[in-house]
Amino acid sequence: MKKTNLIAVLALYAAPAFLHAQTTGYSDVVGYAKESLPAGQHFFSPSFLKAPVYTGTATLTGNSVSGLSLSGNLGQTTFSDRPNFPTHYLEITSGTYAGTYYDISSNTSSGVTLASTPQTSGAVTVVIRPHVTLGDVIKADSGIGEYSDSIAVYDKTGGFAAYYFAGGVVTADDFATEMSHVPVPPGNGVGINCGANLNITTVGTVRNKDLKVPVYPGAVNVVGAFNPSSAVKLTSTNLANELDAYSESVVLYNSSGNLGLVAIAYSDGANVTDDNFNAYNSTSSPSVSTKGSMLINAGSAKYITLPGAAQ
Amino acid sequence: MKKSNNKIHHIFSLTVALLLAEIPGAVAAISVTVASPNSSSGLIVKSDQVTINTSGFVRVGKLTTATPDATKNLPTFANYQYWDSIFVDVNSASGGGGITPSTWNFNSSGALSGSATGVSASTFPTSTQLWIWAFNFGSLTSGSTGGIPVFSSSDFGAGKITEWAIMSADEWIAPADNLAKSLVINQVGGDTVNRLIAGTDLGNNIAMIPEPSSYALLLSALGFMVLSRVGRLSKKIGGGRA
Repeated sequence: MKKTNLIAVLALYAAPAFLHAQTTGYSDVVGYAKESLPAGQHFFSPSFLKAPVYTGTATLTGNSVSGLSLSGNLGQTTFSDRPNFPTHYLEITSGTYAGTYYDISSNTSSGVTLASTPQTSGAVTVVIRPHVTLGDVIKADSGIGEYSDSIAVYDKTGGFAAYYFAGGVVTADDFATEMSHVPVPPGNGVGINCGANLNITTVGTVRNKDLKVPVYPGAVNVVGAFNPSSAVKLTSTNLANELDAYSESVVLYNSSGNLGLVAIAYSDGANVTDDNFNAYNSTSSPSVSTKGSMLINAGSAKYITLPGAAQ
Repeated sequence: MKKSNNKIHHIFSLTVALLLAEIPGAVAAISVTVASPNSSSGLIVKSDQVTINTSGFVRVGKLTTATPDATKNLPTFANYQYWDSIFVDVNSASGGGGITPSTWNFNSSGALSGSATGVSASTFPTSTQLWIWAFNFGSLTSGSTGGIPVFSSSDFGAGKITEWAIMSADEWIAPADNLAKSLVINQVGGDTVNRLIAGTDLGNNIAMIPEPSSYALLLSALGFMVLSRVGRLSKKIGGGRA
């Protein structure tokens, strides 16, 4: 049950972006999607991005990025009474590492410091966007059950934190500390356990370029289709080349609320296969739904490429 | 030759499949949260409906029997031994694999919150019925190795354990791997199967039940209140016994 409204190819060039339009070479498509999640358990991934606050060229030196023109605080939140999280991330949009993204730790008016070091350096084109947060995804009108429905956000080590909804906001498990600022990194998903139907409306920019989502061994890697308009077949991804053959897997569940197993898929080094290592083709391939996610069982840290939705 | 290759491939595939079986997810753990921050979500209160704010804690876990003996509901040492023998806590020290929070001790407002993390999804598979066993005395040590106090007969009686509550609700079922479940106190009561083994449903709040002698007095008081109310109603409508 999905309603998607893509506002026809709106050029969203803000002034800085327009100045560097030649380096990005595409217009952003904006829209919204209403996803209905039946009562039960789900892995859900938002499929939109937020509009960029900077688009243009930059110079990478380690985890420092210079040559930017910025305003405002793009670093971590600065709460004193609750955990802080990144508010913005920088994505490289040119070269071999295009589609990789990095949280911003701090910034000046001309540069940012990243929380981790990109695998490339020198002149690149970049885009900086605010993170989508739990507060953007879960709102009072979504029908979420106060105190009862949970949202799980996964870390790199295999653990997760559970968040709830109380007093009209997303909270920690003390039901008092607001945690609406917890980011949901692009391409990532969350676990939702809801006692009644949940209606999630997400708004933003449709991604039209490939995105490289980092996954980690031992972690619960919830990776979405990142496409608000149509399901993504596994064979249309690069999983055949990105998964270690016969060992790393992708698990797909249904969206009916019972987490019924749809498929466990592998790679044989050239194809995406079923769990008997029979290659899928474009007809037989299972898909990641617009509101669903795939769980990647990674043996080593790596990137999974999500194809852009509106290329 | 092709057939032979296919056979080798098939055997290889089967071998790998067997090796990889049952590992669709990297981690198999759940979180269980107790949701009792205020009277809106529901509190566990003493039998006199006053909040518990000096000591007391909750155990959270599952029962090893689907048909617990509900007649053993009063807080005596003998009954404690019975429930303790069938209760598997989410805490590691009791087999559940999880780390429990200090916020499962009642705070100064009588509230409870917080999550046990890393609870074994194999010990608590999806749809396991979860229970809360609340005490008016004692405290949990948070962490994986601390945890559940072991009581002796001397811990029961005046100034120590005099009240408890044992409860569950239709909604309190363990989630799937890598998901969380919140146990909201106001969900207790009204189930088709009574899962308020020990306690009184006050609407949102649940009141503990006291030890036997006090429980008898409580029942007498409740009975008196009911009779008085019946008497008043009878007078009001001009009826009553002949």
